[in-house]
Order: sequence, then structure tokens, then C-alpha cells
Amino acid sequence: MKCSTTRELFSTAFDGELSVAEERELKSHLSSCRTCSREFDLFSKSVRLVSSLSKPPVNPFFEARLKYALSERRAVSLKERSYLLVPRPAIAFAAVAVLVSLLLLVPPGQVNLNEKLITNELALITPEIGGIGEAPVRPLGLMNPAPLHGQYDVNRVSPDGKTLWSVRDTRLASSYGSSGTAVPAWDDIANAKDAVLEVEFVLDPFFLEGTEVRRLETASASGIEPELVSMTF
Amino acid sequence: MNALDSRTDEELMNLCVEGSEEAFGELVKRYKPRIVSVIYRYINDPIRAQEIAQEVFVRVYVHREKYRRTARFSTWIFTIALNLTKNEIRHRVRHSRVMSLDALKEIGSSVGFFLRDRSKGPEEKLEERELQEVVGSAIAELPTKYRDAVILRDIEGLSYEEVGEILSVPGGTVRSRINRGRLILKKKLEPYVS
Repeated sequence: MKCSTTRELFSTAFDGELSVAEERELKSHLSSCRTCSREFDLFSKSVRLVSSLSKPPVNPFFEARLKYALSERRAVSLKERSYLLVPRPAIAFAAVAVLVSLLLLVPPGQVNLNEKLITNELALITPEIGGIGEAPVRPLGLMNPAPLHGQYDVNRVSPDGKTLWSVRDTRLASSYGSSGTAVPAWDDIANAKDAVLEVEFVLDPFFLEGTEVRRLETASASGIEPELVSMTF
Repeated sequence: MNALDSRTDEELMNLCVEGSEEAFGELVKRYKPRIVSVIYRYINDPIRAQEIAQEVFVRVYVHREKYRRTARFSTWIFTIALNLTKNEIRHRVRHSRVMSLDALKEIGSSVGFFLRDRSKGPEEKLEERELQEVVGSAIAELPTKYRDAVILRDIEGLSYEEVGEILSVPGGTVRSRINRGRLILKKKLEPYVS
């Protein structure tokens, strides 16, 4: 057996998955080749070193949080049930990520904390199923300003000097206008001068067969100026 | 010991499909450390790793009826975890406007943070921390296809077959990727193990 062939077998040998014949040949080569023998020893030690990385601790409240997340998801899915029952082509199940980013230009001090953040500025336009009629318009991203899980990123300053807040993975599992993830610390954002809130909606493609995302020509109830900056399908 | 302890993952998942929340709870108990761990290895953010892991389990539960009863549960859940983790990495790279390699190096610099603490003295701990950083960086610098294979095999302890199913590559390719990845790591870690 050549040295190069031997090294190709190191991994399988380390895992004890060589055939009897391969193992016999490898042992024979290692016993007569000091270089390969040393190489195999170093190989084994480095694999063991990598494997010695232990698992990070798990938050003791993991289950409790999961339970809460599931109860929230169930509440949403009850609303969706009738929509889900509509038969759809297999493409609905294709793993297509649909991301919609939105910039909200926040005028300082003008936000009423008791109001929803945005209204119908962006909407999901779904095709009418089973008949002729106007496409239903579902408001996208009614966001509740109540503090929730601290989902926002720490603010940073954009190249043009604006304070930039980023809310990640604002989920909108429903096309019925259910609230997405809430924006916490809303008063901080509202009071920041020239603040820009960057929101990314992660839409579940399961609900988006034949749907388009469109900006509507309606006035924002909250006085915030939203701008659709990108869509990724 | 409860009645579910002796059930296989697949049996538990089948019970879960039939509506058993206890079975789902048992699966969470079994898999949460591994799922948090594999996500953490990629993003080096323990808090976000827990959040993504939670989303993994939410998806398992919400989409439980899509689980193919003949499939291995471990490969199904790790595939979901890897997909969500890669979404997170893409998101971070896009939003931080850094090159992905830099991001990965940054991620890798403390991947080894959780090396087992065997109650060593301060000097040994310092050495161990340095070693952790070296191992973390070495893993982070692996080409993606080798890194995926090595993390799943050597850190998560999955079988070759499971790794192949998760990465959707045949057995020969899995072996080759693991071997290549390990040889690259060996070269980088040689000064520390010789």
C-alpha cells in the first residue's frame, strides 16, 4: 500500500469502519512506515481534540419559552385553518424564502405608543380562489408596540449619520394581518433623532402561493413613512 | 423513568403526529442540547442559538404531519436546524456588510468556548482557552462543505449515513468530505497535538 492511499483511509480507520482486508493492509503499512504511523497518530489526536468541544449550556427556561412560542403559533394557526384547507399545487410547499425589508422613517416624538406601528402600507395580495372577484388585500405587518422579547438589534449609525435600528426576523405567519413580532423599546426608537427602523419580514412560503407583496397608496395612521427597500424570493 | 424513555425517536415522532404532547416533550428533552450546540458552532451566539433552536422545535411541531414515518428523526431535525442556521448567517452577513469569511473567522474565534472544564489551574485554563480559540478558528476556516460534515460528525457525533442524509450527498462523498476536513484540521492543529 502506498503512503498516499494510506492517508485516504485515515478517517475511515479512525472511525473503525474499514473492511477486514483494508484494516490488515493499513496495519501492515503503518508498522513498516514511521512517517505514516506518526501522521495517523497526529490525525487521531486532532480529531479527538475537535470532538472534545462540549455542548453549550441550555437555558433552564427553554421548555417554558418553547411552550409559550407554540401557544402563540397555535393561536395564529386557528385563524389560518380555513385558508389552509384550500387545495393548492405542490409548489406551495417549495422551500422558497420570501423576505421583505422595510425602512420606516420615524419622526421623533410623534409616535403614539397606543397605536399600531404600521397599517396597510404594505399588503399581501392573494388571488381570489374559486371565483371571480377582487383580490383580497391583507395588511402586512400590523405591529404591536408592546414590549416582548427584545428582538431588536442594538442601534447603530448608518453611513449618512442616521440612527439605525434593526428588527430581525419579524415573522408574519399569517396572511390575515395578524401581528408580527412586536417592536420592543418603542419609546427609545421614537425619541431618537432621525431614527430609521429597519424591519425584515420573514414570510412563510407555505402561505404565499400566488401572492404578491405590494405597497399601497394609503396614508399611514401612525405618521411614519415606510419604504419598501427590498424583496427576496 | 417514564414510559416514553424507552421509545425510539421515530416512535415518539409518530406519537407526536397523533397528537401526543408528552412525546414531543420527550423529543425536546433528548435533542435540545444537540440542536443548541450545532447552531452555536456556526453562529457563536449562545442566546441567539437558543432562540433558533426554539424555532426548530416549533417547526417540528407545526409541521409534524409532514414528517415521513420512514425517515430518521435525527436527520429531519438537524436538516431544519442547519437550514435555519444558514438563514441566520446569511442575514448576519447581509446586514453587517462584512465578508462572509471574516464573519466566519469572527465566529470561529471563540467557537471553542465550551471546551470541557476539568477544574484546571489558572495557567492551564489560559492555555486551554487559547487552544479553544485555535480549534474554533480552524473549524471556522474550513471550506463550508467540509465544515458541515466535520461539525455533524465529530462534534455532534452523527453517523456517516445521517450526515449524508442531512447534507443530501451520497456516502462516498460524506466520507471524502470528512476525511478532507479532518486532514485540513490535522495540519492546522499539528503544533498543538504533537
